[in-house]
Amino acid sequence: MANPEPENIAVRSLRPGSVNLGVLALVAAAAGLASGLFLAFHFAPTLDEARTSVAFLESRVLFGSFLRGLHHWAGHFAVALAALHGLHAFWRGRHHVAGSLGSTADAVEALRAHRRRWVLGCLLLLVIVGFAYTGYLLPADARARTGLDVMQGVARSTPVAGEASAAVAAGGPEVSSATLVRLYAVHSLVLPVALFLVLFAFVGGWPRLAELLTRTNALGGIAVLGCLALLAWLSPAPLGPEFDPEIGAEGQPEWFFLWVNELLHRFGSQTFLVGAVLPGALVLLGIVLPWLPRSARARRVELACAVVLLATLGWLTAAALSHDKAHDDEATSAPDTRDGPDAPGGTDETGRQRTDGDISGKVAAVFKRFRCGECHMIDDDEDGGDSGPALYRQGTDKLPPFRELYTRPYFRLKVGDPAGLWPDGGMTYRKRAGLPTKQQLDLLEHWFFDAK
Amino acid sequence: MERRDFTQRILGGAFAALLGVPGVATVLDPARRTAGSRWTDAGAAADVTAEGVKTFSYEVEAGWETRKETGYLVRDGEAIIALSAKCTHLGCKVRFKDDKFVCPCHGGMFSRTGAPEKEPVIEPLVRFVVEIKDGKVRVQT
Repeated sequence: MANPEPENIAVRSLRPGSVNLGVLALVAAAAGLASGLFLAFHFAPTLDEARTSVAFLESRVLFGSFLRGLHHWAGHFAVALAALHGLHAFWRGRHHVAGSLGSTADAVEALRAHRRRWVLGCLLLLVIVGFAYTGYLLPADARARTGLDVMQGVARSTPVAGEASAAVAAGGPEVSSATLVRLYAVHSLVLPVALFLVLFAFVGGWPRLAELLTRTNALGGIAVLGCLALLAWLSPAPLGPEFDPEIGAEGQPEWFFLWVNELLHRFGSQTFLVGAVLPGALVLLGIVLPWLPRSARARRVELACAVVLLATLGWLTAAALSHDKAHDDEATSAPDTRDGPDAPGGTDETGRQRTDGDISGKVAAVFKRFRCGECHMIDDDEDGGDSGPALYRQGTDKLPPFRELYTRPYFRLKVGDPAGLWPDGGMTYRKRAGLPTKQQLDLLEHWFFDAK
Repeated sequence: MERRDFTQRILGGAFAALLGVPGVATVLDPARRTAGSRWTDAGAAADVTAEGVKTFSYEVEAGWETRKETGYLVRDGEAIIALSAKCTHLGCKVRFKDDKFVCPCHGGMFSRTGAPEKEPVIEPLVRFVVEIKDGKVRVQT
């Protein structure tokens, strides 16, 4: 039977009888759009109200938690499925045209269509990740507020136009409701339109969508919806605590950004490089793949590089996750050190006697972990550095330095993230040491203010 | 071809049910909610005189917010009447002017005690329950 329309790449690339991850990603994305459409009825994109409105939806509105769960999981599925689809395409060498390249007009046209489709696919992945990124920031809980600050910080690290970039990203000199309104506009207007446009070009027109839903793909789509429903029901979307300026930054971004966060953590002074240039370069690399030389040897190099890259990203992600887990472990095992001056000699909830020695040992461990001794002399230790004031732990007769000059929030700011307070000087941490966790900061605060 | 259409239809149906039902339910959810009533302190009874009106503010729980609304206290002989400022025509807030409540939206008019006086208004202003105790006015809104 003659087909009046030219054969379409999107449809041709489907393999009969096997499920296409891209189509499944599309089903998840559609579920995200549909649930998002309804969520928009319940969301107030201001810094003060965002979390409240989400909490209201979760706790008071019938099906509210389920709907938000669907949206949450649809986003995660879309990112994961789209990324896997991209990797699969790369693995099968889809970025290169199969067969030999002639120089006829047809062959040149085929090559162009092929490259165009690869670039559109990369853009689709970017759009989906954009949804997920803006989406996790919108509820403005403590984790999202931290993420908003980091977003602004990375923008601020732009050479030359740092302040301007930060202001554009945040919609003002500081993170405010304007920031949230911006993100909301991007999340619910700009990105959906972008998704439709890019998708339209990618699959070659809407009638193709029906063709993409082969029996296997439709069954796969039903399975995806089933998973979303089950997860939304069993594991609702998280909503963190309200942002508490006394506690400060907490939480990690979504799993697919953990590697960037880990790099930001490790290379504190190279924010722009690891936070913007590197991710941008990776995206660009993905986009230009079809223009790279193609030969059996080039292919081997390409695959080896991809494996190394994926392993590195995986390792960074695992490292970030292990920090997170370490936080949790500390949080559950460390005694509460925030309850006032008489805590060390008292007893905790379990009745276990706590001693000054306990605290002193923990503080020593924190000093060691962050190599404070390289700049500070600790407990009259002759080996200590002398660029910072001497530190005395509890149990000695000397008090920590400048105690009377500090308030607790200021102390947490200064010790928790000195570079944030004074980008150009003051106290710094060793690059690889990272910043203290909330529990470590609690401990230091307790030592600093409550030592007798 | 026949079977493909069938699974496509199931997918479409599942999608519409899974997203549509909870989605529409959340949008219709406010219909389940009725404004709870609460008592509000509205100041001293002596301040409500035979001349003019006195405003009081009360709180209404709406969505995730608690909003402030304004009502009027009017002296009617010995009694004190508490009126909602909401016009009974289409709900605009009325103003007190020349001993009448006037609605700026469609020209409706109420007497000082809330009785309808001019079309399109045909129902009186809503009255709240008032309690006077030890010279203090409390209103159930």
